[in-house]
Amino acid sequence: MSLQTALTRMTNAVKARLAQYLSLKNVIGAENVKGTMYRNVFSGFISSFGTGTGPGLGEGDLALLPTLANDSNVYLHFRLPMNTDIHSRMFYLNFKGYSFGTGVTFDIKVGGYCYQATGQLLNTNVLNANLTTAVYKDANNNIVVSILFPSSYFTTIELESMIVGNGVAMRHGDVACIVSKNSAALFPKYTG
Amino acid sequence: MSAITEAIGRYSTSLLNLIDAGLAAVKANRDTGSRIAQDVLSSFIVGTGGVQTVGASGDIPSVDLGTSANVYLHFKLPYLLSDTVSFRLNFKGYSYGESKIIECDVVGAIRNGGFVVGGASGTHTVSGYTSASGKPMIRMLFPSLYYSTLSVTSYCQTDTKKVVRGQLQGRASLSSTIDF
Repeated sequence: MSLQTALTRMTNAVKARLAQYLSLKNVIGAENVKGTMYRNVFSGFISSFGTGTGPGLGEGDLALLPTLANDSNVYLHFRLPMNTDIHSRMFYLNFKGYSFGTGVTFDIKVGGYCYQATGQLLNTNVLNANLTTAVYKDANNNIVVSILFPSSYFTTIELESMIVGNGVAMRHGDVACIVSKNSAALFPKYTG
Repeated sequence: MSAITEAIGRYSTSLLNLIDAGLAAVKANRDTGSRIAQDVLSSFIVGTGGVQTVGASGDIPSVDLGTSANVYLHFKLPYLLSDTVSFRLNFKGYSYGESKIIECDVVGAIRNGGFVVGGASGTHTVSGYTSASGKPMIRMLFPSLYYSTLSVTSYCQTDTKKVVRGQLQGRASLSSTIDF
């Protein structure tokens, strides 16, 4: 092989190894082991919707916000990477953060089972919800968790996930979010 | 030319090994200097018998108790009764059989030759006892262990005495006290 090929091959191997390890910064435990926690699955901040003259201001995974009339009674809908038409996966999620506008810190845990065989969302449990939290199937059979913020003004949220039961790892990018004043959202069908 | 490419190949292997070793050390030392250790123990239990069947993976061995209902998980702490240490264990997870998030804590201290549990709170009943062979034990009662996953985080007054991965041993039993 040529010198250039050898050097390129080596460089790519090193880069791949480093990328693999850097992604492990978000893994508390061993990869793909039940009980392992994945951090930074979703991380964002809503500044304000103002008076609705344009899209709201946000950062991180909430950088692109819709236009809402104000900051009152805003739902954050999180579509999990599972659909009852396709996946049988148990899940554990921890939503943490601080909503200045509402005046609360929150540390909400949600568990459940997306069960493909019967197309049902089963055995759900929400713990420590000082904000109205719902787990539901949307009209495309995606599993969605919604949290209602009496005020979304200056609200920061971070999501972590544990592999539980027959579930799988969730990583940054796996969870989509719709911000709206509606109590239910509809996401494109998750097929991944 | 081939001698150079061979040399590059050998160098590449050495470099990758060095990277692996370095990053493994970083991961192993992540909790150094901290009074908190995460992923101290992780366990998934399919069941301990009955219609829920028998099976487990992770740090708690599988055992057939004939039922998966009203089962204790016992944890042996890596302390001696002669130690002086105070600690907290936090348990997180999800029990499908109970349709319940697991989130509970227990705090305790070992001093003056004895083990005292200061308090416990959360979704499951957690308590402590001293085993017949004099080891401090924590037990947690599960109405159903069916398809339950657990992860333990430890806290300690002293970072050098905190319970870390490999030091906590767990067993399932129908008895409220065991010795192992």
